[in-house]
Amino acid sequence: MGLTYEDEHIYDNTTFSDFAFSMINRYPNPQALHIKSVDILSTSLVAISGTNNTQHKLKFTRLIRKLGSLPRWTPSILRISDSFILETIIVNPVDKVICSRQQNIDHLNFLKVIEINNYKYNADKKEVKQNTKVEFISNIEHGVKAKTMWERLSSRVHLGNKIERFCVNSYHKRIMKSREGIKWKIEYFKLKNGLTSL
Amino acid sequence: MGSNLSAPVPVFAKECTKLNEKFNDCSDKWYKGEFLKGESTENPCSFLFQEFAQCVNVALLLKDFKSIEEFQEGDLPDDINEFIQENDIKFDIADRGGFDKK
Repeated sequence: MGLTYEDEHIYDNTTFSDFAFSMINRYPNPQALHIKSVDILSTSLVAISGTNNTQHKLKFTRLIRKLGSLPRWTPSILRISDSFILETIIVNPVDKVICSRQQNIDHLNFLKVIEINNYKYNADKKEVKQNTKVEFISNIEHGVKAKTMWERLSSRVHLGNKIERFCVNSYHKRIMKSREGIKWKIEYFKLKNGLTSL
Repeated sequence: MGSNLSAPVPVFAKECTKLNEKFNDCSDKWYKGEFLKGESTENPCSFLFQEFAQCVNVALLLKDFKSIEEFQEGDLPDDINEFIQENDIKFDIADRGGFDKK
């Protein structure tokens, strides 16, 4: 069926430049030890409409490989050791907005997760407001026809629903961890820049 | 872009690590120094990226994965909000009917 998760978060006491730098350089950090590799696949500059093509936003895509973390009750055939995630980030330095989209590109029949983040900088309050929307879609029991025994069995125990529900329930914990990581990185770069300017 | 700590994030293919580091150094400087200030109209590191992309592309194909071009054409929206509308992604639990209804 698909389930959604939505919430907001505020990073206070930062500048857009610091935040935008830390956000795209957020790996590696102590909260993201499950990240195995990050590769950039494409970069491009897109003209922002309404600025006579003089201002550009940066769009780039990365392939992220991370270790899977699935609940213990999932059948062992479905235990996923690692998965690939495609991340697209668009940085708009004029409006001071960052958009990002993350989506897994393998194990799609098992579970598809689309995460969309909008980061908006508020110059008056010196804070960044993050708006997160996540959609989980598990195809396990929503197939056209349950032919094999495995499919009949999994639709009996509502495995797809269970997986979706597990993800929604555990997502809050995961996303807070990822935010801790970005915060850690902002502090890290502040400290590093402070040291080099001495 | 992507790694900036004393122990950087490894890349998908080990043989591309050096090319990646070069590209990262260049693009981090450009990103922070020019782009975020809104002063830039082109990416000076694109030639370094081409070299790196070629290396990754070979590694991806060798590991039986899609090539970079397929990623670039098929999976990337220019605008994320447009992508949501076009693909009819609904962020509304009420529309979904919960767990019991199908």
